[in-house]
Amino acid sequence: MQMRESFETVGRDNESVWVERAREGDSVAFERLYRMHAGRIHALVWRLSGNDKALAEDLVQEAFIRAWNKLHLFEGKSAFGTWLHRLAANVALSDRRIRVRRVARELPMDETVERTAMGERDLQAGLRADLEQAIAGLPERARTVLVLFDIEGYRHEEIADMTGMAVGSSKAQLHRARKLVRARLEPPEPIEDGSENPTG
Amino acid sequence: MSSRQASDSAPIPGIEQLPRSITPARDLWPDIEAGLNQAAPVHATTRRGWGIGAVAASVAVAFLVGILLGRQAPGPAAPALPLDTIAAGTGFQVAAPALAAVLAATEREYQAAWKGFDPAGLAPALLDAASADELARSWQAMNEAEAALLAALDAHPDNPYLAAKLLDLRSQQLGFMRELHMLDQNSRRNT
Repeated sequence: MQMRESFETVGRDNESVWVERAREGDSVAFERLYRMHAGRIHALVWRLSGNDKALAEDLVQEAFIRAWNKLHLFEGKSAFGTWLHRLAANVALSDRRIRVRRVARELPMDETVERTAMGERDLQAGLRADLEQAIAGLPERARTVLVLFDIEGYRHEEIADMTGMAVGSSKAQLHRARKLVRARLEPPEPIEDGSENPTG
Repeated sequence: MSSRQASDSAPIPGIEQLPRSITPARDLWPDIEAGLNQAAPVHATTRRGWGIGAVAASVAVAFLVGILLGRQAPGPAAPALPLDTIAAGTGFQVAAPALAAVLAATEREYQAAWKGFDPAGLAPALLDAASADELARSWQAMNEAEAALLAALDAHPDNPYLAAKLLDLRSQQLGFMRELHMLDQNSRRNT
C-alpha cells in the first residue's frame, strides 16, 4: 500500500517521464502508470459493466494491455490519464459481454440485510449504494450515457462518437436514464388497506 | 415543461458524490504484466516499420501465404546420417552436431510457425499501403537471403558458416512472423 501511495503522490508529477519510459518498453514504468490510474479506470468500467466485478477486472486488464500496445499512438496532446480513460471506455463499450448482458439483477439478500442494520452515520454510504445499484440496473444504452455524461463528464458529442449513436439519442438516453433512476430511488407509496382502522 | 419533466432533465441528486476512483478488489497488475509479456509494445524505434493503430496483418499475410504456396521445400533431401533422428524432416546435414541440432529445432519451429500462421489471413485488411510495402520488402529481402543460403547449402552441406547464417535467418523470419501475428491479434481486437 505504501508503494502505491508513493506512486500516486511522487509519480504523478513525473507521469510524462513514466509514459516516455513505458513507450520505450519499460514495464516497470508502465506499472507505475497502472498504479496511478487503476482506480479511475476500474470505476469507469465497473459502472459501464453494470457493477459486474469479474467483468470489470477483465476490462481493466484489457484496457491496460491495449494501452501498452498503443502507447506509440499517444501524442501527448492530452493528459495520459485522459487518453487512457477514453481508451478504457472504448474497450468497455466494444465488449460484447456488456452489450448482450441482461440487466435483471437484484441485490443479494445478505447485502440487503446488512444495509438495514447500518447505523445513521452510514446512511450516506447506503444511499450511494442504492444509487449505484439503480444505475447498474438501467438498460445498457441508458446506463452508458448516464455514466459517461453525469459521472465521467463526457459531452454528448463525445459520447455519440464513442458509442455510435446520434447526439440526439444520447440526450434522449440521458433523460430516460435519469427518469428511471429517480423512479427506482423513490420511496414506495404507502399502502392504505384500512387495516389500522378495523372498526371504521 | 412540468416540474417533473424538469427534474428529469437535471442530474440526479447525489450522483456527484459517487466516487470517481474505485480500487479493484485485487491487484490486477500480475495478470496485466503477463499480458504485456505476450504482446510487446510497438516501440518508437520500430513503429515506423510496423504500421500504425489497428494494423491488420492480412495484407502481409496474403503476401506471405503467396510465398508459402509457391515456396520450395527448405533444402535438398539429406542422406542418412548420424543426426537423422534430430534432423529428420529438416533436410540439412552440417558438420557440427550441436549446430545441426539447433538448426533442426529451428527448422521445426519455423515450419510450425508457418502452419499456425495461415488463419491470420482471415483478418480484415486495414494495413496502409506504405506499411504493407515495407513489410513486403522486408520479407522479400529475407526470402532472397533464404534462397541464396539454401542454394549455397546445397553445394556445401557441411559448411558450418552457412548453417549458422541460415540459423540466424530463420530466427529473423520467426521474429518477423511473431510480430505479424501480434499485429494480427491487435487487429482482431480492434475490429
